Amino acid sequence: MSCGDIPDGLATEEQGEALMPRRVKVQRFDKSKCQKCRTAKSMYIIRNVTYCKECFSHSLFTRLTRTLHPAMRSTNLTSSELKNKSLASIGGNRPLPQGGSVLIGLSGGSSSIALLDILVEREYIGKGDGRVIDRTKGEKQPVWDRGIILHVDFSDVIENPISKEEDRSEELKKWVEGKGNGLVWVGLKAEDVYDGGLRKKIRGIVGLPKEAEGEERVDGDGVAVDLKNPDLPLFPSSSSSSSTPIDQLRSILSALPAASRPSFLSSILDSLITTTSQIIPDTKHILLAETSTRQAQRLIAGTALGKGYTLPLDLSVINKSSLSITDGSKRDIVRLKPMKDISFKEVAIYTHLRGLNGLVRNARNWDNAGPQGRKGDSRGKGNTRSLESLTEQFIASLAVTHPATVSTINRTGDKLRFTGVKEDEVTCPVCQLPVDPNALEWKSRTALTSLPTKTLPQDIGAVTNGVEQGKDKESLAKMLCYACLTTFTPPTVVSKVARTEVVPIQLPLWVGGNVRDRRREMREEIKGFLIDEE
Amino acid sequence: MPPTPCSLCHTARALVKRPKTGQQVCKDCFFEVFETEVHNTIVEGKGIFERGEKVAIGASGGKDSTVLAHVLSVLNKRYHYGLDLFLLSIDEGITGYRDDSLETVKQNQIEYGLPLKILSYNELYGWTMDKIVEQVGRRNNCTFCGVFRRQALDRGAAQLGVDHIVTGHNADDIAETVLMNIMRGDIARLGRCTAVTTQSEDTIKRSKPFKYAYEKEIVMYAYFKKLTYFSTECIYSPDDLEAIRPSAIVDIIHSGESFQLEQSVQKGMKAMQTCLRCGYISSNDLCKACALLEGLEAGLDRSALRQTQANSSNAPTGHRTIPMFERYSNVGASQPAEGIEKAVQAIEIK
Repeated sequence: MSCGDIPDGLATEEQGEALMPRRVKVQRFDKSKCQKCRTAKSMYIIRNVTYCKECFSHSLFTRLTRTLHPAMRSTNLTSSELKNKSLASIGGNRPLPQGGSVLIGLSGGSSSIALLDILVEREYIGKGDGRVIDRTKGEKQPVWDRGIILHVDFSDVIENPISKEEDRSEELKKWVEGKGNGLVWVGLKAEDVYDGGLRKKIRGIVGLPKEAEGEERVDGDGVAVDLKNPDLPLFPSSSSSSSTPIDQLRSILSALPAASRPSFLSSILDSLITTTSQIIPDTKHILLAETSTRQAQRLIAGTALGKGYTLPLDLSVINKSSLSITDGSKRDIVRLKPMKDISFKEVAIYTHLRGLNGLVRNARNWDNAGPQGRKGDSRGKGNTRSLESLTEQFIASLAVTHPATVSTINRTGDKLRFTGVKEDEVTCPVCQLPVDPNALEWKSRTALTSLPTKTLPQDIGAVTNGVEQGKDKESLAKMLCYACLTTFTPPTVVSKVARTEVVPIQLPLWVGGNVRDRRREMREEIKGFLIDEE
Repeated sequence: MPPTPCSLCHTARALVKRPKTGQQVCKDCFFEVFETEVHNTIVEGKGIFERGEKVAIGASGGKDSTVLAHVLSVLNKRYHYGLDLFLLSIDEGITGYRDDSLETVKQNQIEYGLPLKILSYNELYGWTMDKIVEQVGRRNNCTFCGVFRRQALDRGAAQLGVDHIVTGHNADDIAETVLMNIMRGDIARLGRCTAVTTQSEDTIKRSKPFKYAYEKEIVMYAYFKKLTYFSTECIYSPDDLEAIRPSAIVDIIHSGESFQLEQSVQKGMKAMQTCLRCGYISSNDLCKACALLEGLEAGLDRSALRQTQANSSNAPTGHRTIPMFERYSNVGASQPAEGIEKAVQAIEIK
């Protein structure tokens, strides 16, 4: 009788214990061969699996589609629900044709270049000419009719200490147009958020009539804010547009503390993406090529920035938001992050494989935005100035030493859930995400900036209700979400008595537009109770 | 240059720059602001204390608990919380460290006039940390200490007959815990680590009134109040996030508070029960302390960490065990309804 072969009923507890535990079979692979095809020479080791070039590209594409395809099938699933769906249950190897346009963000980093390259190679994007596909000739039905590539250039506000930050728009544009897939290039600049003619400009690029047919929101003149006052009182636009957009952007960047500049720039990027997708009427999806490495960094940095409330929205594969096109009418725009399960290392290998590394520039250098070397700028480890770049460094080193931790961070992020009701929620005028309740109140309770018993009367409650200071001034602080409030809060609360001069700083036009919308909504609500002045 | 006036009262000379807000304030205003913030944490929502509650302050002799004891006794008088305060110390039995810090606690006891209870690992588990380290080595000994301390605090509180333990965890600690739990993927803890008060059915309520208090401000408070506390490590180790933006610590806590878990994840969590051997709350048949103790008693070295859940109700013969855990408030007031507790009583080794 062999050890593992005791007839039923005979096995007593003692015998059961005496049995040797079955040995787990350890499969040993020949590390020099690809573990997928077992024939070709292995080139890369990803998570202990060896790949040849062919199999690597294939596995990368498969994982991209695993995130991308279900997302297009249904937009109501949460990310963990999506993961549990098999590829077959969501419609095989190719998603249904979506029609319309896809807006792809192209920063010029490996991941966005890889994403665009893959989608074009796999014929996901049509040439925008409405040609009928001839399947008999092996042509594939494109998923989207037309691809719009959005690149935002930040080089004018980055002050690189070594050499001047290069404007890469032309180089990238050449590459995109060289693909010859009818891709539409939309090249914007960060300072365009101050440009009243932005919408017209985009309309011109994508071939829409220059004048909107009364269906579009006008940003108007905008507003200015006093960034030295923690209440952030609003002023009507001060400079009658005498200064150029770039001057206005530079002045707000230098007024913001160094640590806040990267998050402000990312709000600018978001708003430009949103604006572009608003203007192009047939935009079905926005694709952003965020890798898992970037996601992990976003989660940690977002936590440190106080974004906890909206992080689940920010991190999810699908972020559907209703954009108001005119007063009342709304259109759904879906943001997708199909590279969510692909690490930075993998996209870097891909761009290398495709010979695109000459084009790739990964460093964003947002840490160097605005004036450099000012006295009093706080710096952290490794000479970083912002929480974003500090976490970026941290995650990068973590990806080398503890790669599993990066995916654990992402899995934690997947399990977070947004608790508010997205549709009805009041949104923050800056980041345009839902506002967490009582941000200002929470802040003032946990970190007191005035004492009722001691602080001079005119300062009492300045933070909480702004009654005295700037009596007739509206306060931006009350409208912001917690994270944006942190971004705009001056680092050192300067004694209000000592300050005499108020220097309002122009806010980007989209913020001004949102602030006015908010006022109008409030007015709508109380309309019945207002007495006409006449 | 004339001296900067305090940005709160505008009369006295500013002496410190608050680490949390960057405001320049005078000494008196700093005390008041610091105390008021703790008071705000305490009365937030329904408030963490009930009137007439007996509260034990977990006192290690370190800066956090020393300042906590001081601030709580001040606030108790100022705002009439009506609390009965106790000091509760755990003696882990680490020569050259804990014995010195306990001296500090004894001194605090005299200064604030609060009753003090010291409970030692030796008396509870029959082991001191010195002996444990001798057997298991230096690596991983913190696991033993941490598990044992948590249970010892609850047991000490039960012996004192208190309903509530407050600990000196500060904002830095909590922010660190939030980030650590994200990286470890510990969803269960991520959900509850930012709560001011934690209580499950059978344990004693625990609160962290210093949830929003910065470590540096606690040191500052102790320094200006000239409080005696015991310190062996560098108290000014730089914190990277804080160096870039001082509010980063509370911002992390704010994020941690807003995190909500998916329903399905919450359902998957293990229900709590009591340890079959010592009656302490546990997620398994055998609580962590009993399991670790069994390993120690069996003479294991580091492998004592890999405890099993086998043979849970009875300890192997000859092993010392932890006395049965009994909540003071449970006696007479509410008998355990049915099931496991009665079964435990029946097989209890007297």
